Amino acid sequence: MRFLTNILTTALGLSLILIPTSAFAQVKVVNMIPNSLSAETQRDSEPNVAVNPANPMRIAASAFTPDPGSSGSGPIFVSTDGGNTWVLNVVLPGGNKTGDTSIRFAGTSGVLYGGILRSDSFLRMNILRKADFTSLGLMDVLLTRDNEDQPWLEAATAVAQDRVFVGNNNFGVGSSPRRTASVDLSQNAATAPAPAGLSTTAIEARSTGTANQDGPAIRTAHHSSGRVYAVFYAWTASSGSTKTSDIVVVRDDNWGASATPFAALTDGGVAGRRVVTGTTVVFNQMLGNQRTGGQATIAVDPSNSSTVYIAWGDGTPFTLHLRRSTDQGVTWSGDLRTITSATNPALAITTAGKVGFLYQRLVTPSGGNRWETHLEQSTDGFASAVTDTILANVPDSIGSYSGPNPIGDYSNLMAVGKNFYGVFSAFNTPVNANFPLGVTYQRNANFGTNQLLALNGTTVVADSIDPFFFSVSESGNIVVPSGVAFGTACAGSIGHATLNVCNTGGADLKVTGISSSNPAFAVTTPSGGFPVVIHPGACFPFDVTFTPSGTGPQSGTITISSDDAAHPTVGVPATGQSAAGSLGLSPNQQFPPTVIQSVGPCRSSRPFVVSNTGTCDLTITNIAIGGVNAGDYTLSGLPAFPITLQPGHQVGSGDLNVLFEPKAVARERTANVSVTFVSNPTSGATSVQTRELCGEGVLTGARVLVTQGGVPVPVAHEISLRRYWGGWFGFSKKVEEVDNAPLQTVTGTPGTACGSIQFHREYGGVSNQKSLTPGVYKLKVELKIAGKEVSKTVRFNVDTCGFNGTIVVDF
Amino acid sequence: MYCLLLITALLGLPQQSTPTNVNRLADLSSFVFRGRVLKSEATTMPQVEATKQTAVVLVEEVHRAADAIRNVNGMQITLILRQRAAEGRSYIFFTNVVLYGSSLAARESGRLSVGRNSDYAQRLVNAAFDSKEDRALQQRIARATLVVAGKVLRTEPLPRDPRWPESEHDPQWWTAVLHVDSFAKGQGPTELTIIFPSSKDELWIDAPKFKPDQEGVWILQRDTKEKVPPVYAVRGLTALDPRDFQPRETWDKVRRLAGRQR
Repeated sequence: MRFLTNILTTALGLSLILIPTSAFAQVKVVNMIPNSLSAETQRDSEPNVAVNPANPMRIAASAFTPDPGSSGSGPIFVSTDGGNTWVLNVVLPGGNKTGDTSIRFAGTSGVLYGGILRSDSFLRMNILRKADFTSLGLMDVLLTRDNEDQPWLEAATAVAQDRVFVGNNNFGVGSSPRRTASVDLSQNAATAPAPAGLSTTAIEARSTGTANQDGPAIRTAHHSSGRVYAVFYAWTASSGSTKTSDIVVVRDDNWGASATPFAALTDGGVAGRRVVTGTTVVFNQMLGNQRTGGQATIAVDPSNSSTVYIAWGDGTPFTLHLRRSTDQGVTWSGDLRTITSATNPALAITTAGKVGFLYQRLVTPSGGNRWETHLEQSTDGFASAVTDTILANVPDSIGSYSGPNPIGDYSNLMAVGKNFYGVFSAFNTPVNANFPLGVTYQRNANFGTNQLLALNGTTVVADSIDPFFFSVSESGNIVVPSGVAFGTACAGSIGHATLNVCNTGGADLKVTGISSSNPAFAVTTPSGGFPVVIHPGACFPFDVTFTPSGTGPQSGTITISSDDAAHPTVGVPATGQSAAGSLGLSPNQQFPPTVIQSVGPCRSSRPFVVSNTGTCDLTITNIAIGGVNAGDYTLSGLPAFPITLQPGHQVGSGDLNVLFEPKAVARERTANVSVTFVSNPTSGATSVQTRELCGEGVLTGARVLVTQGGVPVPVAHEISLRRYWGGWFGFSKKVEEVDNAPLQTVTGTPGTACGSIQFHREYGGVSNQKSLTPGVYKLKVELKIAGKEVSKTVRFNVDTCGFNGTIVVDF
Repeated sequence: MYCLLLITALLGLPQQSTPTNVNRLADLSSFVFRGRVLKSEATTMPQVEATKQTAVVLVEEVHRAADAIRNVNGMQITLILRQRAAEGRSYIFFTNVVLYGSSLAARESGRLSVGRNSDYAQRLVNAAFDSKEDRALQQRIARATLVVAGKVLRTEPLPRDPRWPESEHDPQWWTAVLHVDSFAKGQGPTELTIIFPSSKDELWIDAPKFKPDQEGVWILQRDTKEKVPPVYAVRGLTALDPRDFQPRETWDKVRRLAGRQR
């Protein structure tokens, strides 16, 4: 398994989710004792297993395992991961452990049913029900009856009703000779209050003679059509422990609800077909340390209700016989298999028609008696050699328990879909050779020293008998990556990735469909469509697309449906980052005071940056001037639209400018620049971002601010302006002289790009629209400081489009 | 009583830790331990949903447990609380385990505050469980016709009654002849014949089995009134419950418990 994992990981360059299984080997064997019970030494024999057909990951099992806490109720084993791990849930009433126990899920309801013999009252049968077998609390008791033996429960859901069948040996019936073989059944047991429609039907129609009873092991098998079979030992005579018995099969074609139930098969005019007559059963005959005498099983082909198999044991040594009928139980084959010195037969048939035959056989090598647990599989009705798998080969007697009945009176095999699930009991010595196909222990075990260890990992625990779960995967085993990651994809584009679905099972894997929880992620239907068949050990590269909408991280789950019965659907998380271009703009623009057009072709220019700060292309569809004084502004360096900006690029390669050419003298000449861009590349939707523009229209001139120590003074004592004649060193002529000029503050209008200004005197501006003729000027400012007059003189030039707005005279 | 309260106060145990309270909790519990609450509204097992009634608790010292889980010191387990418990605090929890997995989930019956004297807490718990066992034994004695001490002289199979059905659960009745040297309840001859199930079937495996020269104390009922259905009933004295046969060393205690009923 690890080898395969490494191969796949390397080949695909992926981190894979390995859904636990025994790859290629197909067979998984698990010791069911939980880790917290590593010190457990009980005789956990006579196991039973129930797999939820609606979800094979949910499995329940039973054994003679007592509640370790002696609460007065018994436990069942619970797995929600397909049998890989188990917990004990104390749910069975009637004592710290139960006697005979069988449990089943119905077909789709998920309800678990059980038939038990309570241990607190001898031969008292309970039929039980629990809606959620994983929840805490006892199962509901639907029926209680004394003088019962070996209740064996089967269940199905049909027409939304849970049908329950409990084969049992009812010693409480009638007078001698008693006909004890019975089936308790309910046609709708899921929710009705006790007894939930359960009633008893005797299926023995003949005299039991001197035996005065039938033998134990009354088993039923049902088909989805409503055809129900039962097999039982019909004892006819008794001499001590030796019983003369027929093996009888009965049938009902309407879920056991026919007018005369289980009378569809007749023999000599009496209900019940005798497959074998007059065979000998030595009751409680020992096989090694295990008693025998009442072991029978039956299974019907889920694809053909006419085909039914039975197996039973008889003779000395106890010998198993396997036979088949293909005509609804009317006629029967001879022995298809004859297994001497074997017991605990169990049959199941998959939807593929494969028959599984589980049994435990006593062998006697030089080292002493051992139990081999065999699973035989046949796809041709046992016409050719079977596939025989030995699941365990363990001593008959060892460790803490050396008494009789080490493995119990039955084991159990089920089929769900194409897979087998079963359970058997065996000594738990951790020896690899005892489990030829491998085994997983939850309890602490050292396979090097062949010792069981307590929870502390050091204290050696005596060997004992444990239940072992096994499954045989006949479908493929799906393996998927831990995720599909697309990284970043630009909105409007389509990203691609490969989703490798691999099959580590031993048979073809059929992928029937793939869906996604997020429409941004989709799997391209293969050219051949679905289903896609993946052979063992192979992978199929599905193309996954990521078509992001909007921007930001996106995630979803890709759900793969397949015929892997253990994992009919698996989810793979898909992640991607959807990105788009992002608009970068210059801030609001304020222009310097600019001379109006009526004076001359004067202008101010400001670079205006329109850039793409994102990681994907950005499309600009328009850049326009608008606003109150839009006519005062123009754009230069503007390319034709649409403009596609790559990440980091600017419109006009940085040469885009806004020009200000005012038409009137005014403090605030406002406008704006609107940039229209594609904000949703998937839909083509656009957005607009705007920047404000503000400029001051003036005549040729200047503006003076007087400060002391950098701080504007409230009043300038005198400001005089003279114009030079003949250049910087010629004569000057007085232009203006102002006394006590106050500080003026003009505040920009909020929400515009206009700023505030301060001055004591301006020439050519709004407050003094007398312009200055182009030339050289001398400005003298007088100030009273500490009672004394002080003055400063500055010179400045005014050209044709000149307005010096920043003359500061500081004292 | 005042003396006891004084002692518990000195030991740092709260007054609720009276033997009566501890006995009551012991009656309801099979798993008793000192545990520190690590995290409220959390669990260690996915089968148990985290609610306000659950907490992850570190088992610091097991005071009473079945053999299979006696060695869980240091394990973090899920506790289904009767009432909220403060994180970081230690208590002596009286519980029953309801789930066994890689961890445990236990349902609280009650708790005691932890005092400074751990040995004293252990003694309280031991005394409570001894009392619980004594009361269970006393109930068996109360149901008994005879309570005797003696020795098995011989055993043999009981001839099979043809009316008994054939079942793998057949008790396989045997008889044992006892030499009785003492009576704690009832009177009878010094040689008594009792009936016992020799079967090691799962339904009988816990019932006492006897062999020659075996000595002990028998708590005997007449005519299988318990456990055995009419189809397998036998007439005679039986000891079917595991407590119905005790080691000889318990004789004084059995006599004392039997004497209380007079």
